[in-house]
Amino acid sequence: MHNKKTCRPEEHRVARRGFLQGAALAGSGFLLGGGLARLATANELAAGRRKMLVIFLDGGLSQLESWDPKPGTDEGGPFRAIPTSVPGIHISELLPHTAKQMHHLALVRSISTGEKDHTPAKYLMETGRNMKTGGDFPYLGAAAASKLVQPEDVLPPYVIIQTSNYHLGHGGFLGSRFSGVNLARAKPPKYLTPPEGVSAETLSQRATLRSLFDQRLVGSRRTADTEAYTASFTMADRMAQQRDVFDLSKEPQKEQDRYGNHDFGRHCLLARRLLERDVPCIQVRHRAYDSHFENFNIHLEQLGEFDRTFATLMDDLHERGLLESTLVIVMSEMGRTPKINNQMGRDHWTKSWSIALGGGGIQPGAVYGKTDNKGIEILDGKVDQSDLFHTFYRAVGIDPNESFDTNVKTVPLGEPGHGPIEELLA
Amino acid sequence: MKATQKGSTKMNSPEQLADPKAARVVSDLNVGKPLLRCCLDPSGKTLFTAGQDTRIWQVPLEETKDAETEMVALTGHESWVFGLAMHPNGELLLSGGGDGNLIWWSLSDGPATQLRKIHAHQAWIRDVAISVDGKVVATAGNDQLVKLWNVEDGRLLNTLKGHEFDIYRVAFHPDGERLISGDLTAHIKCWQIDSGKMLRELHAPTLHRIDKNHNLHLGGTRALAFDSNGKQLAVSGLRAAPNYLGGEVQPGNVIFDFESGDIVKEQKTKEDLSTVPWESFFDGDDTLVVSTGGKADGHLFFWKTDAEQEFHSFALPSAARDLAMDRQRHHLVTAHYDGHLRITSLQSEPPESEVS
Repeated sequence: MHNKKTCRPEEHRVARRGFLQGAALAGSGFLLGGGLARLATANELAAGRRKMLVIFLDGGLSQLESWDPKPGTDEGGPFRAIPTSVPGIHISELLPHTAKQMHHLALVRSISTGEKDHTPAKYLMETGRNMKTGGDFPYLGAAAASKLVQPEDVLPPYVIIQTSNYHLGHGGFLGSRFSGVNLARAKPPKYLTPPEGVSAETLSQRATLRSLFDQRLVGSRRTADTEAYTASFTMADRMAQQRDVFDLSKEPQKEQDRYGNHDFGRHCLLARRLLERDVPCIQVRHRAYDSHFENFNIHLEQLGEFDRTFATLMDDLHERGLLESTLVIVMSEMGRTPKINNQMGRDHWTKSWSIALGGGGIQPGAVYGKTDNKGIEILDGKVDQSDLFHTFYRAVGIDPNESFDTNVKTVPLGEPGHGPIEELLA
Repeated sequence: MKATQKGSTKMNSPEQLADPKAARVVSDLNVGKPLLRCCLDPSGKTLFTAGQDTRIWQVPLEETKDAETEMVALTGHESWVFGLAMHPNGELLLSGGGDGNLIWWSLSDGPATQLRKIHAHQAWIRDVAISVDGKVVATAGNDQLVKLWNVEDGRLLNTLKGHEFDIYRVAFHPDGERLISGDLTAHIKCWQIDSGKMLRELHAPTLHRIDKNHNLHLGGTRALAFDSNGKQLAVSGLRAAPNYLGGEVQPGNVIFDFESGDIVKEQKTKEDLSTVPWESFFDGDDTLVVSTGGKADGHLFFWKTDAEQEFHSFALPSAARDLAMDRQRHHLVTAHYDGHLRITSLQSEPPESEVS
């Protein structure tokens, strides 16, 4: 695994200074020992506020049909590899539009994780922690949102856009304030528009009354729950003022068409609009990669939908100046077996798989790690989820060595004993 | 490269009648790679098979028991070969692959040699078929196009547009004037060969569904077969998919009266086996034979066209993909996931030379 001892001592000194500055700024703020955000450097300010966009390919994207193709080998499958905008890097022919964005992306081709079932594997890749260790750790978006949120934010710090109402993005011990707000099928949260027949004056009076009750309660029993309760009403009020951001019909038809007339297209378009409004953490989920059956047909369909939309999103983020400040992560909970089963499928695989990163904080055009010609063994650069999470946090300017204070114990953001993949960091 | 052959591959015994209930494997050739496609030359002496790599294997069949047979590799594709078609005169093989290439192979003089290679489609070629008179070859695939080619000189004769999804299968009508193509959504288009005009469209809705939660198309046209006079069309596919991603899918056939376009029978298997139809043939005008492969390994199913359920099924040791018949329709050849070609006899009395 990528060991922390490869880090240089001075990095830790800088990181600690950043942490202390952040803590000083945060004052009493919240239950976080580490403060709301560390001080941004001049370069970071110039690049804009740091954000994180995760495209989660649910079920387990095949690394062989995406980032680490092995054409012409026994288990390589029928797809060929194509060149990308970075000389020497080839990816699957299923991603022709993404291939043209490779100069904005980096690949990790040497991930080894230990959970083969979906639920613990998702927990692992969404929290950076093993489910068996317990601890109610917040999901990546929630943890990062707690560090990237700003007091003046008018939209939730962590938004999840998916096709179902299945709740994801738990805030864990951070509480509900940083839990993901689920926007199923890109629909805005309910009740952003005042009920018919209730005047603005009436609403204002209700808000004032509630505020009085809140102050009385908080004065005697201030807890994380009361904070979250108050914050949620404040956020709802602010979101109501910003509800136009959820209305995709505000986008010209041509823009909507560019993203694609399907859920994933609409979800990515909404993600772009939310990033433009400074939502710091967004996750977009694309489903049905769990291809035990007819892996190649399914990847044809799913990546056919993913490819053009994702490339359009990357183009837009770049052209609108958002990419420099936005870490983009394309990941799954696992990869898929090199061996093709008797149903033309690929099964769960955690021994040697890949993800893509891009945008803010990431070295564009980098490839980290290498697998053998069958895609079975990692030849170089073995990393796990902990190393990836250190990398994610560092890329958005968060010190992974900071800790959360849960009032019971201190919990470090990044798993101790690991470190970021320095070669991937800009 | 050598293939190990168990049993005899002596195939033609015209004096005996075919009986599906007598089905038994009489020969087994281990090619050594998972296989997808197979076809047989008209003499019954050579098999061609393609699998999960870029090669086609030419496999001579030995009539002696337990022989080693020398296979010839036909190289030229850059992706898997999804379509193999034997010319009626036995002197030409055509192959189409995931590289979009259509290759002509000459068989007239021993080992096959490449005659012509055309980049025919900008996506996978999923199927190749040759007209009854041997003059036209049809290709179809993921660019949603059917293309007709002159077998003699490789000239593109027509491009048939109209499908909105990947085309899985293509087949010529026995009248020699019409062609059908079936896609991912189980829409079957009927085309006039000479003009390229679309004559009409059939639909087998029970063989396709959309998983709205995943925005995923499930099913499609997995096999097409006409009876000998072209009055009935059998479309095979997946009639149920309790867990598609997990491979819990069940096969079914939709039988059309081809002239009226009416669905006359929806067919299923007696048991809800998780398996996929890969190829089908009519044996005569009333018996449909389908090879299947999947989670429940391999099977041959035999349906009467007027019955909902099969009258016989025969289990095979590994997922069966493609299916070929000898001219007398006494023997079936199947290509399998485990890398074996298996020859199943439908003759009731085994000749002495066969193994039990």
